[in-house]
Amino acid sequence: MVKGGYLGKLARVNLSSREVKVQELSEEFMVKYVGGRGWAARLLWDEARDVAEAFDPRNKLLLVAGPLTGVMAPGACKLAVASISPATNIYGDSNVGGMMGVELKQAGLDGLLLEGVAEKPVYLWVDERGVEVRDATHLWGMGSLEAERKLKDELGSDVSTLTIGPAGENLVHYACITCDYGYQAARTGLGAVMGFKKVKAVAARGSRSIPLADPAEVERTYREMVDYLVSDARIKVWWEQGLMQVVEWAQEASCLPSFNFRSGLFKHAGRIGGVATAEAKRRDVACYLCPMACRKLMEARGKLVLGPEYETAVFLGSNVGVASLEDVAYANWLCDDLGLDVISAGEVAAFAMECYEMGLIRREDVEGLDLSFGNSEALFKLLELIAYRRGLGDLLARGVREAASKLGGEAWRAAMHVKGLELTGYDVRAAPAMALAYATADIGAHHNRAWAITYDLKVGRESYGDDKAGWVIYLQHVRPLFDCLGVCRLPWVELGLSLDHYAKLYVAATGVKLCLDDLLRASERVYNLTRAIAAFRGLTRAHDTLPARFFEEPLPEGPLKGAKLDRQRFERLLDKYFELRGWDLKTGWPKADKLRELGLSDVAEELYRGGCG
Amino acid sequence: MTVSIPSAKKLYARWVDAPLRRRESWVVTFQQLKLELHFDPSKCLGCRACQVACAYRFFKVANAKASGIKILGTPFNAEANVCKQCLDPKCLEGCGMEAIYKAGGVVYIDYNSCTGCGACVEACPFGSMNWLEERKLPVKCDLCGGSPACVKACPTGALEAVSHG
Repeated sequence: MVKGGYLGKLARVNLSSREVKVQELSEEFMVKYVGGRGWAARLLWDEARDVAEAFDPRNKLLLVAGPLTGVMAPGACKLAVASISPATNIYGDSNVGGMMGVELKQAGLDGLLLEGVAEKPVYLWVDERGVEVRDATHLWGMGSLEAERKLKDELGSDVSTLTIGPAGENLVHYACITCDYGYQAARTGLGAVMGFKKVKAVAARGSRSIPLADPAEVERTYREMVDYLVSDARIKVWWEQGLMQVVEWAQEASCLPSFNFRSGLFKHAGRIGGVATAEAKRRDVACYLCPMACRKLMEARGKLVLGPEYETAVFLGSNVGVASLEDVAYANWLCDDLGLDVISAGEVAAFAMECYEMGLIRREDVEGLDLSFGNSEALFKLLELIAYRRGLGDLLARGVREAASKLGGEAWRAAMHVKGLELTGYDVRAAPAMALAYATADIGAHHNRAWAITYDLKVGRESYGDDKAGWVIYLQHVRPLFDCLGVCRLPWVELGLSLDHYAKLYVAATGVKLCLDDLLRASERVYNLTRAIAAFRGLTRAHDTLPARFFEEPLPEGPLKGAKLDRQRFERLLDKYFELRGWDLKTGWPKADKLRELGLSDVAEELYRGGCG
Repeated sequence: MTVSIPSAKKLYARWVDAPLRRRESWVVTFQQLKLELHFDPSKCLGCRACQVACAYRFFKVANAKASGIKILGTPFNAEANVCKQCLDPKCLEGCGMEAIYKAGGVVYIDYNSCTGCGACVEACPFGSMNWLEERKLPVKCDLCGGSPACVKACPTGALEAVSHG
């Protein structure tokens, strides 16, 4: 049945015993959960759903490529990294570009499963001969970019690496994993899980060709996709400005968070936006086989940095009041080297700045830094305090949710998170669909599950119509499907590349006859599975909410002045969402029937064993 | 302007069929492929579409490493490593099986004679002879008979086929 795309091999690396076992996967498993995030979710449900916390030796870290990773498609290099997250304590995943996914598959593995904890720092070396656990004492303590350079000096510049920085080593709850200099598996603190397991890096090189069921059809489909992309006039803006063009767009739509989400406009947006980037950039950088070139290489204070991107411009720019592109780029480089997620680290900084304004944080707590909004020098220092957990950095390293509960007072008002994961860069006061997307995203507040704000703009920013719930659900199936397949979603999101291409490519690569609807069904299965993990770990509907700020503090300026979310109407929208999903209105758990319908009877049984829900 | 020449296999067949004393003159009388690959690093995105197109043309695989052209150094800068079609090819000299030959200004590998010993890879001073471990074969650029696949695949025009003379 499966003739290509998949390799069907997962290497199980036991770090405690340094044993590596290559596990053959069944075809049924491979197709049912598609790959990437889907496989990771199932394996985490099977093996780690009951771990005490993320930093439990029984927790697993999964690096899984998809069936289209390394196959011909624009951006076919994505690797899903997943684990029980230290930020949210539920299922967490993050998708990373760079060449790691491709190298892993060309070395003959679909993915790695890391279990146990190494005694001493180690790194993993993967090639066609297998996986080797090697000593990494000489790399421990280095910045992630420095460690990467050292590894590439040792192993050759053509290897792909995943590294963590001091933030990962010091278990900062939002530490990232860096791949090939400029790509990060940033969200949900997976770098800290890697650091807890004492794995400083993974390096891989592979040269085998991935088997394909129908190479000619794969090539033809790939050509069609690229021809479509380069013939679209909008691609010129991508070459020119990359993802930074979203800054101007968000400013126009009054959804550009500034000063810790207190406003949706930033006076100096032009200085940190796409036009400024087009002038300052050094070169355009594309991912594997993609003509879009979203990434821009920049230079800041003598450091080369791949980025910043929209989220970076928000969280190291407008949201902390910094109005210089060079400062944003330098803070980005610092986060990359320290191994911090720019989104969460920036949000934590904004939170600290607001608490400093409120007098909840004093100068002496943060080594004398003046944490006023816009003070970029203080921001740079604060990032270091967090990564090395010095002074108040130790508390801030636990994320805004925990920091707010420790600081007390009105600090909770400044803590912008959902389920413990800091919000990403869209103000949702006048965007109910996007608000719903944040509240219900399975890893905590993140736009990657459903970037529904464009729908809000299309059908009306005031509307709480049922169609919005339906649209969010649709997006929550389509977008994670890309994470399952191991390709980038931006050609579809931004340039409207047809989804049928991906289904065609899946069939041509694997030889498994699934249509787009079947794939979306599988994606729904995975979404219910991640939800089941959250439910099993004690999450209920009460957690599907948003920071009070969006309900209580209206937008202070701009064309949407006075806009805020209506709590009652939002709850009704949430009801509709649960109803459409087949989830329980009260608990928010997937109903047993729904799980059975999706072929997850064993999950339903396990979840409802205690008779709850 | 692009110039087409007979396929490498045909060329080689004609060459080996010719009487020994005529072989020298055969080669020089072939139409010269007056084509050069030009690479503009400032336009290169580092997407490796060229490599995959090349590999697909040679072996029908999706494997950037099975390619005659290599893009090095991304994301900071880009450098293309591709055969210069030397006037005096060291790979040809290095090959003990006479599996490398030159015709019309282009250096070809005859995969029927190649034993996969890798001597040509060692011999190339520019590292332009690529080694495909999976098939134990060398692979190099032969300009695709005048219309290179890599040039067609490049989305930004960083690679160009320029004819001269």
